[in-house]
Amino acid sequence: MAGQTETKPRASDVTADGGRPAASGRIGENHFFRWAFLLPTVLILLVIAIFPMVNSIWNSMHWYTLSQPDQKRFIFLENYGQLLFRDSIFWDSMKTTILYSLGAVGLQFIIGLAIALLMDRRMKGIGLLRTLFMIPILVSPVVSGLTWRFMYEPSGLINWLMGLIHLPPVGWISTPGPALPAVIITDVWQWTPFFVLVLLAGIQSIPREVVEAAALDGLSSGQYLWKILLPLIRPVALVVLLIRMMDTIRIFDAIYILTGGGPAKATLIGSIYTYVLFFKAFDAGVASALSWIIVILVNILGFFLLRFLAQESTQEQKGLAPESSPSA
Amino acid sequence: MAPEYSDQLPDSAKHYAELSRRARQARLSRRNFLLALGMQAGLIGVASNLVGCSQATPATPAPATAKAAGGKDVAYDTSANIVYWGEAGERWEWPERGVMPMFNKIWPNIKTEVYAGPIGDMLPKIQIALASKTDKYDVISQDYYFVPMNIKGGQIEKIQPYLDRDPAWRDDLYKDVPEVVLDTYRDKPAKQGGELYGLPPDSNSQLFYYRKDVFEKAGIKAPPKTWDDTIGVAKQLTGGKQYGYIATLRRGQWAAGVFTCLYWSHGGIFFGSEDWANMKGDQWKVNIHDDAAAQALKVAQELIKYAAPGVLNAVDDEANGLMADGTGVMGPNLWGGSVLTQEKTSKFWNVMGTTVSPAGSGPKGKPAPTMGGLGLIMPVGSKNKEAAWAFMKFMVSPDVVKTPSGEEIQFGKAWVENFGQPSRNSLLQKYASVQSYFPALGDSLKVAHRYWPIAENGALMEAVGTHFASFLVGDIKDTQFMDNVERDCNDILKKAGYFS
Repeated sequence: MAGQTETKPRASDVTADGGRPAASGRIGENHFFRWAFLLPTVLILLVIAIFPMVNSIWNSMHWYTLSQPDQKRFIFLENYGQLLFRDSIFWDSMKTTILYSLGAVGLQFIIGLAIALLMDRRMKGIGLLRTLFMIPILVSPVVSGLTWRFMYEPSGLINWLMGLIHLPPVGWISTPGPALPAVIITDVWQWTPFFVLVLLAGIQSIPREVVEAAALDGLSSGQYLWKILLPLIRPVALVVLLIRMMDTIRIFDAIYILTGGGPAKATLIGSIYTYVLFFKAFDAGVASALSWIIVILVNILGFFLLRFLAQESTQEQKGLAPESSPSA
Repeated sequence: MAPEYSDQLPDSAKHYAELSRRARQARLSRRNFLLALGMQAGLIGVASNLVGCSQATPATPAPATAKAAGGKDVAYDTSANIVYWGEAGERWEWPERGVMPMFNKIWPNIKTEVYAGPIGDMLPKIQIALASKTDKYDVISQDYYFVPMNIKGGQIEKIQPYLDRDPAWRDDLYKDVPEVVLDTYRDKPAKQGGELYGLPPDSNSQLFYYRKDVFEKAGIKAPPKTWDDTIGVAKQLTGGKQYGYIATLRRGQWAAGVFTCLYWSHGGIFFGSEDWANMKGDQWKVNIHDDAAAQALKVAQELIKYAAPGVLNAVDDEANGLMADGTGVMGPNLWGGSVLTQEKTSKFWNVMGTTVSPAGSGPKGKPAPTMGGLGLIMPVGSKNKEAAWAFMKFMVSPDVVKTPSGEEIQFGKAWVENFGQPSRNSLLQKYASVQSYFPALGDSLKVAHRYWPIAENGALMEAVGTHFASFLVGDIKDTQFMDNVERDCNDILKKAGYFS
């Protein structure tokens, strides 16, 4: 090309991983635009993600209320101490969060697996059925919350249906007993299709020969489920469980719309209690501390699930999978 | 020796391979990085200034130079664009919009931009905006129980000097709006020399709503005057699909409002004293291990037996819904409003009675509904304070207002017909035929009890309301309720420095 200086790349510029040169510390003068284009992303990330996170850690160590933001003062870990050792509502909210998470994700896994097994077949219209099944995922949590709220109302659809079979009306989201199961059901309705989607993909990735071999060996359905299917889809299942566990621990919108955390503390999960502390009690310090406790909780959970997943994967690579696993 | 990879490429591809190689070799000098950063900051600065300039509004003159209309107040030729932030819907936005043409008739050059949002989400947003000393808004409609927080935080303008410019109007306001309502916008009570930081176009209190037809059918001649009698009536009226008790008992501030009404009406005072301006040290300690709390909890525990499904998680929308569709027939301390007494929103609007909430039993017993209401405040950051004051003052006008040309404007009628709930007693009385609950509201305001006038109000109410709701569902006993409330509230107050 005219005016272009041909420069052959030097061998030292190409590394074993396919070309990216090792950092040499040299300062080049001609690549201003490369960084100029990168900078907006870095700046945005700093402003909307990194700074708020660091700032919230800082806030969590202060007495900081919105009534007197100018009077902010450093109290180190006192807000954490207040939550962990003196605040009974905090422990109730943590208990509710865990119950909600286990209940919702557990049910979603069981129902999702059952539906995925039913859908793992060739039949007319199965494609359409699978597509229809995904619709709840597409619904916004606020819309889903409002819809279910109307259905749960004393004079709502569910009580009307119960009335048809002469059952008395139930205060689904207004009495403490059924409130938590009611919000779990809403989450199950919305997110079971996600389990179906992922588990179905896992089931369909099982080699045909394995399925045929199991049939030839005369395995019963139960044996096939426990000894073949579940071990083979375990990595996929763990990933989907991890994602949904994290989601349910930090869920806010649907429960806020459905019950506002009530009645009493029946559905007051951690994220809603954080909201209450910040936006109702205006205590930014304690609210920040609580949000970090939730972050730590999610991370601990994620750490153990990922570690479990990594162990599984290592075992499989080393050929140390349990005898029941067909991959061994 | 193996050929270099670029030797294997066609000429056109070699060019891109070379560019790619250079890019990989690239390092960023500190100088270039700072230059890029500076350029971007400069660009952002220029862009934001351009946007800012395009939105700038002309500032009104400072109070000292403002020409007084009729020698008294804001000049009629004042020119400004003001931004008003208020709660959407009836009671607030509708009456304000209803009288806006009248405001424009008097101050044609003050243009008002109205932002209205749902009240539930708005109040925290307002507080965050005020905490940041926003200059975006000139007038904000604020729930009175946040006002002590705004005063303490130096977030709102003292409006007493503005008010004092027109003594005749001020004295009429003092005469017409109950002192207890005005006090909610003062730094301390008027009797202790408090000064105003807000003006209330709106007032509210809990009211006793009941179905007159159902009472008549049951042979109950008048609504009960005491809480003990109320329990009996609730029991009598409950049966089949009909329930004798409706309340707003959602955890948090809704439930707290119900408890405070019961507690105050049994003579409770929550703190060591209610002499707000002179309280010191341990007088700020919450102590509710008393008869008033025990009585209040007992009444609540009895009434809840006759509550409709839904009450335990109800805010006013749900509670009003239960009364409007006939599920509930008595709400002894529901929040005042026109929902239940207008044809469009209630099946039983024409048989809905209203009166003052019951008194507690015992020698200290008295009716003490919890007070509500929203007022207009001026953020310290407002750049159009004169025009903002004109707007605030107009929204609390008496029944008839005169324009500069002498024309009389029926302000009160427009306000009330657009579902406003005025703070002026004269309007509540005059328009009782328009809104049948106005006389009961006027009577209630005479005995209503305000939330605690301290900045930590919201946090205390959350604590009280959460434990009260837990008590109602049987999670905790009465003594645990008292322990929990004292512990949590005293923690909040101690951290805020009320006592050590």
